[in-house]
Amino acid sequence: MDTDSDLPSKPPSRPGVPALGSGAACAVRAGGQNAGTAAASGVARMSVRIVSDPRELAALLPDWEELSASALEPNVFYEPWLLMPALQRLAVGRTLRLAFVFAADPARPEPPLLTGFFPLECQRGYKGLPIPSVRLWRHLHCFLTIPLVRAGWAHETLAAFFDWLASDSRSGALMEFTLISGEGPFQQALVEALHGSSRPSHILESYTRALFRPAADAEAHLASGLSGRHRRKIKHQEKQLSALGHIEYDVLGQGDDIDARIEEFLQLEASGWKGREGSALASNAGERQYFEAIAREGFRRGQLMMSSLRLDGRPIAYKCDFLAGRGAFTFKIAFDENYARYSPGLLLEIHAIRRLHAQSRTDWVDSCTHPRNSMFNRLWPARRSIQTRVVSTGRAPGDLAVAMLPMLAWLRRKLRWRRSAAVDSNLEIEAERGGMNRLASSADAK
Amino acid sequence: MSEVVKTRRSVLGAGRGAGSELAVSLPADPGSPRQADEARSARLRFSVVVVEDPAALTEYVAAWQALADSALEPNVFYEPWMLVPAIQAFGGGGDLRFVFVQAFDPANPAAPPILCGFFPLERKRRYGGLAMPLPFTSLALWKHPFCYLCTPLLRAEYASECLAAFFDWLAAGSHGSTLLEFGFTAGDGPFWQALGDHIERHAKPYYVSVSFLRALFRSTGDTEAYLRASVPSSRMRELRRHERRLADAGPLEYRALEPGDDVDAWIGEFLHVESISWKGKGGRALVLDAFSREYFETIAKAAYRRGQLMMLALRLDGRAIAHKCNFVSGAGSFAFKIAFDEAHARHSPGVLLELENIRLLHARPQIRWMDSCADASHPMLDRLWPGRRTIQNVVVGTGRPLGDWVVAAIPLLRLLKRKLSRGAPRAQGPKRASG
Repeated sequence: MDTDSDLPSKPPSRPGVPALGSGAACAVRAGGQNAGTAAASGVARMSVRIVSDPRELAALLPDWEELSASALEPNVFYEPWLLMPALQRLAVGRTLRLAFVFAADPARPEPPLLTGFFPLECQRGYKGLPIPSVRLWRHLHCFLTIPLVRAGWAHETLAAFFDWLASDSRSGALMEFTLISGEGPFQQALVEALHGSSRPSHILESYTRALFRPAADAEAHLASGLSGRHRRKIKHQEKQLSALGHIEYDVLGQGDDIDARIEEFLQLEASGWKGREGSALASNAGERQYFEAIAREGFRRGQLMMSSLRLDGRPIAYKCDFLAGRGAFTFKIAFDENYARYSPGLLLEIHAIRRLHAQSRTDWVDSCTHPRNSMFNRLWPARRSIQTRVVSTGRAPGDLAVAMLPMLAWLRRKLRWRRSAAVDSNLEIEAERGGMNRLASSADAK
Repeated sequence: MSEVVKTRRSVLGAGRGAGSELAVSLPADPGSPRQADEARSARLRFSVVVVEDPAALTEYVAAWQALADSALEPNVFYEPWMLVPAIQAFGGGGDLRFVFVQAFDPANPAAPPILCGFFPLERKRRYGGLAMPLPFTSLALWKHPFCYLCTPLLRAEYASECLAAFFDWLAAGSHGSTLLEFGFTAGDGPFWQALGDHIERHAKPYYVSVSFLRALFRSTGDTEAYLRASVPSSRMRELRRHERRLADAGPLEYRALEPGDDVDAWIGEFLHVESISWKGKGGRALVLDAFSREYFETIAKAAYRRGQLMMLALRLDGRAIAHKCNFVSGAGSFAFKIAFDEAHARHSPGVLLELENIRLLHARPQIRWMDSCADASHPMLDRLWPGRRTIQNVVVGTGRPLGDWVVAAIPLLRLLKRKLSRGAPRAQGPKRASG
């Protein structure tokens, strides 16, 4: 177990207190993902179950919920209350398999302990290769796909998962860990599982995105990201805005009308470029219903954070975050384009920085944004590393495909470059564009 | 002999905030904000100086030490007082060159340049990172026999600009090499974030040829809580029993090197214990090689003068039966060597001394972490230190023809090699026994 300074570790998994819910717990020595696991694997019998029957899934909900709270790294997007509505609304046309990993202690009568959850999407091909593959499911509004793995059980869970991948006839030749963290306990567990194994693996992508970490105080944090001139300009914009009417920063509280806020947010988002482009949540019935469901449930559970900047009562900037453990995830932001010259979105983020420094529940916020989002990169100097890693499931075509991927990517880049060279011979711009194309699929344009 | 390549860079993105503790990042200094003054860094021009004659390094030592003290990630092995003696002891056979990245302010030409990056490189005729030599000239961060981390030194506030300048120099190709290996570098934390971002932004093929975890100590503020969380009580009872058995044989004491102590005597004592340890018996002790011995004596004395040496001993009846030597660098530290007397092996004097090390580290809260510098899966430290850091080798093309192509082909070559030598043991990451 890494110390509590680790980005993703949560109170239940503080050193020495691995949150273990069943009798099998006694087999595992305190110490987290790296330590003491030999004892457990000697005792626990691991198994992987694919759950597709809705009733079976419903019966697993409490365990899944509890696993989310005891995970090595929190991932709000894979908590049942965020994923179940996605399965209902955003999975059309997808072949999904929900893999649950259990540890059973043969010496004890308790039901097996849920130690892992991997929602998988099956694909017929991979990057143009006719090779069946699976990957961690990433729906339209999912910005992180770290599987849920119980703290203290990472070693056994990953071993069981890889064994299952190798033996299961439907899992294909490749497994893609799509948008996982490039550092921290899950990545370390994965490195450990792959080190010395004969499975070829390859990092397809590795980049950083903005992360909020509190500084000594809000002013120090702001000063580290914004120059004095920039801060004066922002202050001036706020003053100009307040000349237009009464401005107010509003945070959703317990007794507030959640439905009204949801509607306000959806309208504001649809009023901007996302609405025109058809990518606003309100542009599509399924996405709208998805957002309504998760926002209501998040509110009920105290895991939703919504704040807005209001001018004479009307919202001109909105922000919606989900809390998970000691962390939070920035889900969506929106602002009224008519007020763009006053930077209402930026003003709201600055207010959020002040608010985050005045509380003690949240230690970090993942921006969930594009690696080159200039606003967040400027406001939040810290970064978190995000990776996409492909691993062969252990079959010969998978081994070959993983080994070929870098060459294919290189060839593709060469061909694309040659084609566009006539138009634009600037290498720098082309490289940037190549990066953008690849990243466009992995980040919601916020 | 040195050459200068001028490079111009725009600032891509904001500076990196190494100030806050990221997941497994090991920032140099937790307090100060690391954000670059953007207006300033946009104005700076970065240039590269390559030093091939080790004697010419002396003029850089002061700036180099200042860089090491404010590095994005501390690496004691690349600090001048530790690297210069290594060049003298072990640098003879290699084709070494030392790359310095400097920043100039054109608006203020009289100001001295700011040293922003230091990359000690070894040029090899072949690339040997895959247990099968490829006929391509390659550069690698230099790793001498007692260097356990090769993360280059980057100035925290200009890390991305510095990397960009370094890659521009690589692409200019005056070094005549096709491949570059960032071997034995940190695989998590701000250095890898900066390197990964640069590679990704320029769509460069790269290949992580080795990636493994090694034990990392992270201070938790309280020794008792740390031990309760990390060492099972049965193991603690066993170790206390060993301690009692040893104490039965005579007065047992833990001692740490303190200011004013005779450092030469401590060094001599360490060398003695190492010579009677399993390493001495295996012919690998420092005393058995004149160069290694002199290197160790030089760096230990230099570290002591600089306040960067930690030595501790377990003594029975006045004679040391276990000895340990660490180097401190900023908020971090590095476990260099541990040795114990084989005659007492059954009472685990080395483990007892490691427990003392944990106590001493908690007594010095300014040291927030210690890198074990050990192999992956070190049987002793893995059980005492639950934290881990990732160490990896990253290969990139330098920008010469074929470089990117070779990097993209390495996984295929590797697979081919594995299929051909099926049954033979697979190539593993570089190995080293620690302690």
